[in-house]
Amino acid sequence: MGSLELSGWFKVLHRAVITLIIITVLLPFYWIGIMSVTPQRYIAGQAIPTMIPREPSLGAYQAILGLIEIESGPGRRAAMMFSRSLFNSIVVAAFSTFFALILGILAAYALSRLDFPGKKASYVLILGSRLLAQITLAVPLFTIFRTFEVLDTYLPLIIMNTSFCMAWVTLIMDNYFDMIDSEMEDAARVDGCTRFGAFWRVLLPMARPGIISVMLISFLFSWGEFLYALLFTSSMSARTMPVVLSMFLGQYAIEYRLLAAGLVLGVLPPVFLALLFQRFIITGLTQGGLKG
Amino acid sequence: MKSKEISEGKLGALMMSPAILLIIATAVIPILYVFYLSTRDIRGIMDMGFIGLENYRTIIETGRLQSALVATFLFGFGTIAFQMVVAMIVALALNVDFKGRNIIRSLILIPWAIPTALVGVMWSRFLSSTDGYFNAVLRLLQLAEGEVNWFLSRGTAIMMVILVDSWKFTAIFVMIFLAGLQAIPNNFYEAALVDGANRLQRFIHLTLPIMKPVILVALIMRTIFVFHAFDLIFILTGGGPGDATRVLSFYTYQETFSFLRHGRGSAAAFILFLLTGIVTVLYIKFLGTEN
Repeated sequence: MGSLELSGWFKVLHRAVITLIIITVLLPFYWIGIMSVTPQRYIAGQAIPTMIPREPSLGAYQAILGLIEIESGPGRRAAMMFSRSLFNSIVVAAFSTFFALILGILAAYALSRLDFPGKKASYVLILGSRLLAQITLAVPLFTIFRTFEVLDTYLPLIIMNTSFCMAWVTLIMDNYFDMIDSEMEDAARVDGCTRFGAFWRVLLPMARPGIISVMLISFLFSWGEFLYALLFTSSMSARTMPVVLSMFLGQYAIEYRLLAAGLVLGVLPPVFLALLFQRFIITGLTQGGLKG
Repeated sequence: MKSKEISEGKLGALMMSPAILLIIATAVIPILYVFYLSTRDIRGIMDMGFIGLENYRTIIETGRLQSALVATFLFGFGTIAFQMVVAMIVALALNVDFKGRNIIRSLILIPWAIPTALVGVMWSRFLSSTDGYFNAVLRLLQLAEGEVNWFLSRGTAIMMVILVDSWKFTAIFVMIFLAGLQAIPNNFYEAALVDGANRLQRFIHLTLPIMKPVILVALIMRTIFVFHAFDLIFILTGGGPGDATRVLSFYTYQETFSFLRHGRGSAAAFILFLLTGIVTVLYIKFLGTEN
């Protein structure tokens, strides 16, 4: 550990930096929280929108989830769109994560433990695909998905998220498997286990922390994916939460607290997961980032 | 070894093939297809046939490509430089023993976990010229008066996109730098203390050189991902004012999906692909020499 002791004015400077970090990270959440519980009149059009709760209520949360009726037409429509988009996001993220894990872990095992023709090319292809900008593929994919008549369904979103996440899963799990000694698997094989059996029953249980981290990274990516969800959907049948919230932005008929409540609900799952599993995520990210 | 067991080569190819098939379908074929589309004159849903490299010439002659490259460079250089400096300061601060260090470490992960589009929506509201919290704080601190619209002038628009981008992405640099810093053994510093080096000298002559490979990898990784930036620009500025924040990825989107010129859009997409490709090849080469 390269930890150091501090003294004198360095201690003051250190305190200042830490305080600044805390404010920078937390203040926006405080603002969003305040906005979500405060009636429109204390915020909209105010040169200094209120920064302390005034007449706070959780009405916006109940409304946007469709638990209570909203009088205004745009508000009611917004609530319907948002709750549907939340459902769509969960479906897309769950299926994408599931498929990405299966494909990625199989590929990672092959890369880490087996020798097969085309291994190097496979690795380069997977690494390369992760680095492509989404927009490069958007133009041809739009045409392809249109030809197959699957636009505005979950399918293109699940396929594309699976493809991007699978590359992450493969690269991170390849590293992770490399760090696990193959002794145990060899022992299992001497005992009559097949190669696949040793992978399934011996290696996978040992790799659980790695699997959790790639699962979270895949879920976070799919939950927040924006561009394809924007381009490949045109109605509420598949539109996901980030797209719907971005659509609220330009609509002044929608109260700020509805937008803010939607934001809070949208950021809660990722924030919760990140805090709960931070060690797994950091390991996954720094390894994936450092070793490619 | 049992003879009925499948051979290593076959099992490997079998386990790898689903992944490779998916990548061929969702990346390789689309890249070939985007090049094909870039050589055709497509307007709306009308394909008027093959025109060679005419689309490329058009986007260069209209100056759109160059302005997109300039915007990409300004945004890319700005985000990376700003985030690296901030991240190094944060990483150094977190490399010190203090109460609550673990809490702060979790804290910086939070903005990173939030979907970029939601970060954009949040900040777009905060940065509103009339009733946003950001300007309200500036007014309270007497740093600004009246309505300040950050997205009206080129300089402040780029600056705001960079700041919002940094709010989310600085965490990646911090995590990588911190991992690098913690890998430096303590006796490195002890030797320097004996030599009487002060803190700044130690940072410049010891920490930085050791961290060089880590910094380089982080730099290359982030350079690749600068080309990906889309969500924030779409939500915050829509490429404006003028073409100030119309980076190559946004320009590609606009040509294709706003102006419905799929041919020209594909040409821009293919150039974006080539640029990412060049950086990627450098990255893989660099990793090769490092290992």
